[in-house]
Order: sequence, then C-alpha cells, then structure tokens
Amino acid sequence: MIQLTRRVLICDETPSQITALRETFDSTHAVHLPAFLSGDLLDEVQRAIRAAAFYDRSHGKNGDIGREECMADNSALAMLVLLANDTRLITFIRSITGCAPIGCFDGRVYRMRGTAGHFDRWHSDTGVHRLIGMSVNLSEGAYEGGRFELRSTDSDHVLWQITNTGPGDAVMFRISDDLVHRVTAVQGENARTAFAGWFQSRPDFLSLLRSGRAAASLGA
Amino acid sequence: MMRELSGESVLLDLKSGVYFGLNAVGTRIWTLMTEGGSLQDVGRVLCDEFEVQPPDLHGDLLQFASELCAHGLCYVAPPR
Repeated sequence: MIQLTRRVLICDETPSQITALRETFDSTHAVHLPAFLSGDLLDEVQRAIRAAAFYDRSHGKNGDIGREECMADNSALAMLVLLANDTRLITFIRSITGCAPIGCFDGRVYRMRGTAGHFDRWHSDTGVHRLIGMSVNLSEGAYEGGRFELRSTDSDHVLWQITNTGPGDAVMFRISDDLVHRVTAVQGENARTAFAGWFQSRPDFLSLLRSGRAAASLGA
Repeated sequence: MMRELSGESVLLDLKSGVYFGLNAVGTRIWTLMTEGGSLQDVGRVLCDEFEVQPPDLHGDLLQFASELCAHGLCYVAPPR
C-alpha cells in the first residue's frame, strides 16, 4: 500500500508489488492506486472543500480543451501539494514509472459538474516539464460519467480507462507527446472532484514555492 | 506541518496556507523544539552538534524562535 496521511507516507509495497506496478505502467501507461489518501486526510480535505471558494476555469486556446470549477488557493490545497512533494513518494513514483528525475509536484483541486456544462477534451498536457499526471478522487459519493481515458495520439483505441470513484483513490499516468487523455462528461447530480496535477522534472519544490506558483507562497 | 526535502524543510502554516522554508540548521532547531525541550535545551544540543560557544549561538536562536512566534508557528509556553 502507498498512502498519504497527515503525518507520514505509508509505503509498504514489497519489491514484487512494485515490479508488478511497473509492469502495469509500462504496458498501459497508467496505474490505479486505491486509498492513496488516508480516510482521516480525505475527511479533512473534503471538509475544507465544502467551505472553499471555486472559480470557473477554462483550458486551451479559447477554452477549447476543457472547462471546470477550480478551488481557490487555501490551506487544504497547500497541504495536499506539500504532501505530494514527499521525497519518498517521489522515489516511489519513479520506481513504478521509470520516469526522469522529478523536481516537484504542482496541482490544483477542481470539480466537474454535469449540470454546469463542464468538459475535458482529448489533450496531452505536455510541456512545462511534465512527466507524470496524477488525479486523486476527492468526490463525496459516487458520480456518473467522469471516466478517465487514455489513448495513443494516432489512434482512437482507448488504451486504459477508469471511473475513479474510490474515495481517495489515485490514478497516475504518463505524460508524452504520443499519448492523450480526457475525462468524459459527468452526468447526474454528484460532482466529480479531484486533486490533480503533474510530477515535473523542474523546478525543484523549493524553487516552485519561491516562484509563488504553488498553492501558497514561501513565507520566510 | 513539516516535510524535509533534501536537508532543507518546508513548514506549512495550516491556518494561513503559507509555506516557510527552513535551512538545515533551522530544520534541526525545529525538530528539537518539537521534541518538547526548552529553548535552553535546544541551545545546549546545538552547541554540542555544531561545536559553537553558547554566546555565539543564543542570539541567533532567540531571533529564530522570535520569528517563528511572530508568524504564529510556535508560542512561548509557561515554565513547567
């Protein structure tokens, strides 16, 4: 199990389990990590999300890639970003993906609602030193639709897909010019809420904080 | 909340969501402080570990602790 808790990262995967995850990632370019957030941590984050402000956010030129609601920076996001930059987690990510050295993780909390016309079209997320994508399910209750799909750039065949509805579950996927991914439209009343972002080759985490680009800035 | 990152560390103030960077010495001081000793205890350990004389260290230690207090990251507890 690999699990983020408020205090420590639990990582008790055996070498054979890590090898199995690596083989899965090598063949499908993605892995599913159940209960990646501990129950206590998930509860705390969900409480913060209930009280948080969200703003509309579009992706791509003229907003053609996607539209969502993004959580305004707050201490819950700052905590998630800090936890995701745990050096042991980064070592684990490299061991199961074989990716280049990771400098930092940067991400956001966002949600897609079926009643708000939110969408996410095929895109690669390449650029700005991104290596591995991560999406952690923070939704309260199961949602309909909202399926993550991954395929080759030059084929319509979906290589890997998942409706990531397990509370606190994570999906890690490869970022490459040869791959594109999307999240299908959410249907029904329940929103799909996720902590999502990228493990990047650079900058290093302290530089990211100093640049002010992460969830909160470095105070001293 | 604190996480160490290759010798340095990042403190997160969970009330404000502001991160604070600590160098290696600051990280050591913070760790010793969270173990519950007095600032005097922290100073004694640091003098041993870094082979410095108390007068050279205490001013810096007090200033560091004052900055932490000013940011609400610690407080002065009454004597036990």
